[in-house]
Amino acid sequence: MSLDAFSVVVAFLALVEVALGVSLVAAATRSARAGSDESVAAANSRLALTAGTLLAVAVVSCPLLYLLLESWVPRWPGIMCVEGVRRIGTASAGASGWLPSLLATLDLTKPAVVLIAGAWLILRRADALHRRTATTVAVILGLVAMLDGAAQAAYVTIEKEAVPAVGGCCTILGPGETGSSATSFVATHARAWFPVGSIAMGAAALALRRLAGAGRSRTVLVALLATTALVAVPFGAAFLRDVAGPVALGLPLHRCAWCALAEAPETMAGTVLYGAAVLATAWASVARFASTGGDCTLESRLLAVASFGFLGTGAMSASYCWT
Amino acid sequence: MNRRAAATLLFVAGVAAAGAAPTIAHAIRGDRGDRCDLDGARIDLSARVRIADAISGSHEFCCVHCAERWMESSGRVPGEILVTDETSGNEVDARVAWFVWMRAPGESGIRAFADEQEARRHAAAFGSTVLTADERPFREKD
Repeated sequence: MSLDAFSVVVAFLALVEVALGVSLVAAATRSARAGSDESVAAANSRLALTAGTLLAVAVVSCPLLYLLLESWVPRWPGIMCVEGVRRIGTASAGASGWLPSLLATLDLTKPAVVLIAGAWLILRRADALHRRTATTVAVILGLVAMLDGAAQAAYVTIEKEAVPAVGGCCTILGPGETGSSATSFVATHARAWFPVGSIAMGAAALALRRLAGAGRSRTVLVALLATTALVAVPFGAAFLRDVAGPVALGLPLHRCAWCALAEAPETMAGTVLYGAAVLATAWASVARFASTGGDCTLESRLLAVASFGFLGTGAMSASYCWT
Repeated sequence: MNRRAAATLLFVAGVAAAGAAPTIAHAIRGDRGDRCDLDGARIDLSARVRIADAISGSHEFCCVHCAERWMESSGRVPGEILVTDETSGNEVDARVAWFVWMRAPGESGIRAFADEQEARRHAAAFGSTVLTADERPFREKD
């Protein structure tokens, strides 16, 4: 294994994440068993410190992992972008064969850690009614963080220098392979539905923000919006790859999200905007669930962020469709 | 202006800026220069392939493989395919060019030659063969 500065930093952060995950599970267990109010308060403050640090580490490690993959592009002759690095290990025997699966795991666990950490931070502010839920969420956060850190550490440390890469264009598939982007439902409908869907979700978030009352119907509507936003994420990824990427790069046939992110900074801004909107919607749903006494301040603020993100992404994606 | 109006204005301006970002970024980036129309790679002039298409104009590719993939994906029958002669650097009509599958380090892929003798000499030097009949690229065009 040849180590570079990025590898060392990413591996270190992965180990920190595993340690924080273990610490969080232990602190949550102690908090659940605590008897007196004083010991609960002490356990909760330890939990808050650990979860806050974990959230910061998770947020920082996302762009660092991307930069690490990008820094590895020149290592293999013929590889053109991050997509090529992500394919390293495909159909390989031994430990290197796990590399693509580890990256696929990280694709899910990285945003999951941020999402769950945010949800826990909201729940911990709620009253004693939700204390048990908050403790359960803290344990889940710890476990997901351990998985994320372990997968990241394994990905960085597995020997990959000797693994041959399939060079050439990242969008070209090998003989006999079928392009899933052309056939899948998501890819087929992303162009038409993503801009409309984003604008509709933005409008819905704005409407919910203004909707009076704190009844059950509002809770259901906010949860429905959060579910829709999470389900729409693959459409967003397909839109970035199949529509925004080719337009931004000026390469009508070049359907690669990684090339778009690397060469067209506005696509990165759009991705961050959309990610923030999805997270804010999910957190608003948690805030709605945890709120008592009709206090909707946090939920309202999160819905405002969500509406801005969705409407901004909708406007951006509509612009790509018309360009 | 009160705080609420300022926030609304900022909100609308932000959404409008996001909508305008692709157009502005496209204008700032401008011309992409000599890059392959398929994969965006920098074009090595000694391996350039140019395809003249009556519908979408002229397209430039970094290699024979990319040009073939573009034809396959677009389903278009181009009016003219010009490959670059490895020896002179001049453009040659693909129908009369000689193609060699190069396996030299850093030079793998199909290379074109205007002259048959040059093609055979290169093929022999790199332990390869001159592509014939079905092996030839762009064969639908022949």
